Amino acid sequence: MTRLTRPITILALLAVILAACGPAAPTGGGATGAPGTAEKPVAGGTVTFALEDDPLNFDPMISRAFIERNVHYQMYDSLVRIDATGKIVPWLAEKWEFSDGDKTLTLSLRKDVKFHDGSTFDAEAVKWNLERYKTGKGSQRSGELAFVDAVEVVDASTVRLKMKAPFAGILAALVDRAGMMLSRKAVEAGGEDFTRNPKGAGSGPFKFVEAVKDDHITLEKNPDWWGKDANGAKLPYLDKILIRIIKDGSVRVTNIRTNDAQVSNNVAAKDVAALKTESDLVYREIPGLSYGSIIPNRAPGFIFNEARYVKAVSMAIDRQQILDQVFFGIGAVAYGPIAPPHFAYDKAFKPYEKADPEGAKKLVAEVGRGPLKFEMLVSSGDAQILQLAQLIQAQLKKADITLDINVLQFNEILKLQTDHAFKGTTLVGWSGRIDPDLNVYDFVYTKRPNNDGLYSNPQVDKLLDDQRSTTDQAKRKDALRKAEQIFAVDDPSRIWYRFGVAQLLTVKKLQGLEPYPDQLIRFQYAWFKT
Amino acid sequence: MTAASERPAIATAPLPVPTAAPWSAAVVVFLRRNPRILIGGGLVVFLLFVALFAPVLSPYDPIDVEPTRSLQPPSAAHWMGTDDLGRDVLSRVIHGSRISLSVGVISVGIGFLVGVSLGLLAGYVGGVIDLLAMRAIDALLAFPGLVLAISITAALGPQIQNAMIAIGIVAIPVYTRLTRAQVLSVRERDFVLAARTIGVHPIRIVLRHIFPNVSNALVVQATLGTAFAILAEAALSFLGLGARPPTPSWGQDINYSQRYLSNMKWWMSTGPGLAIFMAVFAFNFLGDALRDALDPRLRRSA
Amino acid sequence: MTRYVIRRLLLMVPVAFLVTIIVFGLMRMAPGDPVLVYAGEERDPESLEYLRHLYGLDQPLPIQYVVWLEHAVQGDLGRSLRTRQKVGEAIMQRFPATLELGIAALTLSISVALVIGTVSAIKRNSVVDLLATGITLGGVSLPNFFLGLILILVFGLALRLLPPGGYVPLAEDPGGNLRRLILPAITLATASLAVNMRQVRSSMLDVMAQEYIRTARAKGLRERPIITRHAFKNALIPVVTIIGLQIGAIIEGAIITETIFSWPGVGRLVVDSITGLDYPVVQAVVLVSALSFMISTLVVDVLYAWFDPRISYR
Repeated sequence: MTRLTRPITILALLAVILAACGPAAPTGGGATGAPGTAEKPVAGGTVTFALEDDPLNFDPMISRAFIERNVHYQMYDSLVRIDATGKIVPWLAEKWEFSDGDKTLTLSLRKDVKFHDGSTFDAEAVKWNLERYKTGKGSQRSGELAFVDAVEVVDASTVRLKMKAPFAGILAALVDRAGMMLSRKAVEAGGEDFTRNPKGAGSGPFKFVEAVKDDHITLEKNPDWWGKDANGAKLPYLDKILIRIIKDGSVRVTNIRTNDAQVSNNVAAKDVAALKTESDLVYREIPGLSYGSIIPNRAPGFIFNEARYVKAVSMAIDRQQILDQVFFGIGAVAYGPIAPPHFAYDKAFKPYEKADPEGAKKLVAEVGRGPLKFEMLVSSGDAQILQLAQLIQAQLKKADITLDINVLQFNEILKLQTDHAFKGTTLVGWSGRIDPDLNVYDFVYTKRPNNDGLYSNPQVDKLLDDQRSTTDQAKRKDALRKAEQIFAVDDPSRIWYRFGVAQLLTVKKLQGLEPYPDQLIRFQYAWFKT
Repeated sequence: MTAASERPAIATAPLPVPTAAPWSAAVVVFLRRNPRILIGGGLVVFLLFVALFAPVLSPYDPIDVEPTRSLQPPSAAHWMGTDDLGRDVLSRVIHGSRISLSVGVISVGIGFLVGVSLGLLAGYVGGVIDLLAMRAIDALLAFPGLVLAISITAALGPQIQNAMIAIGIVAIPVYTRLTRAQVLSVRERDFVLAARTIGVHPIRIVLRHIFPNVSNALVVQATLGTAFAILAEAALSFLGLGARPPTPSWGQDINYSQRYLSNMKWWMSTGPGLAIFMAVFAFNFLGDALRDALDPRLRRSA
Repeated sequence: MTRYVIRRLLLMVPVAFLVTIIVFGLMRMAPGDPVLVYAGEERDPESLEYLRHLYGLDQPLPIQYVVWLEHAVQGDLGRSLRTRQKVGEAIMQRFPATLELGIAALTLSISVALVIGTVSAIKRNSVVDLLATGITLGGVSLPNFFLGLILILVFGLALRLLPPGGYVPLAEDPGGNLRRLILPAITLATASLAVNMRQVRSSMLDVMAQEYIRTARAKGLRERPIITRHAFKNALIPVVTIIGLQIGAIIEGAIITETIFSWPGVGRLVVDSITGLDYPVVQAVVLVSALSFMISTLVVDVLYAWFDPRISYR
């Protein structure tokens, strides 16, 4: 397939998905709104959402886990959002404009938004929130907003972000937690316990009611939400969301089979084939932003300081077999961190389409230090990761590369990884972000926090800085593609093997939901067919 | 301390030292009177045989990954089917006996050696040492056993050697209390006092006069303890704190394969599960039979 | 007697102290850094430092221990590193689930043990007796995680008679709660069944060999009243002690079962906390379960003396 036809195919595919699900997008929000489908959504009902882990922090400022965003997205509105294709669309900000050589971002805000506690959303609120995220005690968002120098209130519905330098990823950051707007009154009243009891703080389609640890979270409809569907009807439709914490994958599926829950967005690959055949259930998936990778320690003094060794391992691995065997064909083969939904993705980038154990042998011989033997740290207790590691072990054996699997507790691996003290490799993935920069920069740029293998390549650093300082997508894509060729092939920083998918499993009568590339659910569009 | 605060099902009665008699003949008579020992012993010998000759007995290489034959149900070629990497489950079960039995033997060895020495020391020396040792033992006993084992393994790292050490430590209190109780009961008896007055070395007294009195109970406890150790190793491995993959290990293989139960692929878990059951049953059965045969107090009521 | 109880209670103090030192030492020996775990995907060095300070993990170990002990003595067990929830609260929230499971399993185990144990004692060396002994020996040899998985496979997945796991509070949905309770309760009961049955059987045999039973028999009383009125009652004494000890070990017993059946009790909490290095939670759960073990042991000893005047305590 040529490069030209690819985006068109994806768009066509998405159009089919959109038409099939018929989501009703809010008028002011996502521009994805397919025209109203034949069936008119019915308001009312309670949905039970089976979630795989317990969200700990409802405060976006200190939230650290991916899973928590599944709750944030129902309670809070962000300044901007993405549509189901991954395109950034207006949300609380109706429009935006870059100026001053991309160093100033001006946002025009909606005027009809109230927080659940009754206070008004305006430019002052944006300023307060962004400054809180930047400087708040224990904020996890300060890195994402590091480029923001000052937030200026122009008038009640206009706000200006001044940046130290152009930063292409700024809008993508405002899509997520760093762009979520909370009521100052509610946050200040909540104090220490706010993150567990965020009553009244959001402006989103659902209001927080209660959270019982490791058991459930209850959200109720916000009847005053600003969003409307394509027919002009008020959103959301549902009265209540009950989020049940069910850690076991098969128990989640069983609960949906028995209608004790109606939706889950995390289904084990091994269960997918069977679920697709069940007539009461609907399973959907689209390409996701997440990836799996092997991280070699590239620091001096470690085996993988030798780039050719990394390359040899990358060559010897049969990615297609990994995908088929471990992930039952769910997902896509990956050679780098830039995922299919990213604008900078290139489907033709297939440096190791076929496993090449002979080529790997040659590379190892070329280094001339005898056979390659290394250790892979694998987290204990995760059967799928163990399976993966043992399959890789068997694949590398064909290239005469010996892999020792060392099973450790997850926290010990994290520690070794953060200290850059692991001897061989670890096996760790990333949940993915909507802008390719956030899948790349912190992982390969010299000395960034997630660059666990201490990779450093001046050329890569330069290219990544270049793409950050422009909002011109064509230029950014060009720089990112060049960088990926280097950090994934020529002087490899990691070995990527698979892209994940965004999944959605629902009972048939639950309508209006569709998978988004970020794997999060948007319940404002959901309704029950009677 | 009283009888009730001992953990249940432990023989504590003083036992007579077997008198000198034609040794082999005594064994034959003993076994004929206690056929259950033969059965239990037979099972244990069978297990040892399987572990020893695992490479000869197993039809395939237990770690040979062959994706083309993965997740196959039991068949003529693979009696217990294959796992998700196409490895032969039967071969893994056969090889898995090695881990389980070594854990059983080694961890019981650790618990036995440390526990008995501590018991002898505390009981014989008495005083402050006894007090300190027994408080430490109380603390170990008060510690929930599995939690202790998990914590020790977590502290030392999730490897099989560490699991052995952990299980051994958990077993210490039983041997210490058993031994100490015996020592206390014979310490003031005439033959010990006599040996002491003629200046026999304390270690000699302990080994010659005191240890034999407790050995029967200890043999029973060690046999039952092996069953416990195998079960505990399986539980630790099941929680992901066992042998390093791809080494076959029963508990770990069950943990590894249990996710396929919901897909009705049951064969990967049942093989190793039944193997654990058999091994633990063998040692429990033997231990039970030994107890009935060696412990006159229980024989009275049985 | 009172002096004896006081002495035992005083002895608990150094033992409990030792337990806390062991658990503190073990947890801190474990490699890894809890802050990294709870930082999730965000690993900005500054915020890691902040978290470490917030949790008091930047202090020297002895100081951390003393601070913890000081608070613990006052009843403050600290906050979970993972959730920032008060540890006491977290335990209390999960304890009802563990207690429910433990009591259900114990009730099941005891009632089956009483029936089978009595029958096999009366019909000693019969087929029933042998069968019962064999089955219980089998029960104690069956790893409970394997039994649990088989029950899930058969009743939860193949026959779809019962839910394969999960929990709903009793107050919220009694029917749903009980349906989810059945499989874990059977799993947990099986292991203790053997111990209980053996105890019932041997104490029945013991009692039946006693003088007064022989006298009753000699007087020509029929067999059934002898067993129900005389033997049974006296045989219960050791059984009660076993029950007491099992109540004391309830948290430990539930660890594996709770893990398999996604039962949100204290047992699962402690396993998750050990592997996640959530120090305050592990320290608290271990302390609580050690205390409950020691207290139930003491209660059992006291009850024993009360039941059986032949035992006296210094």
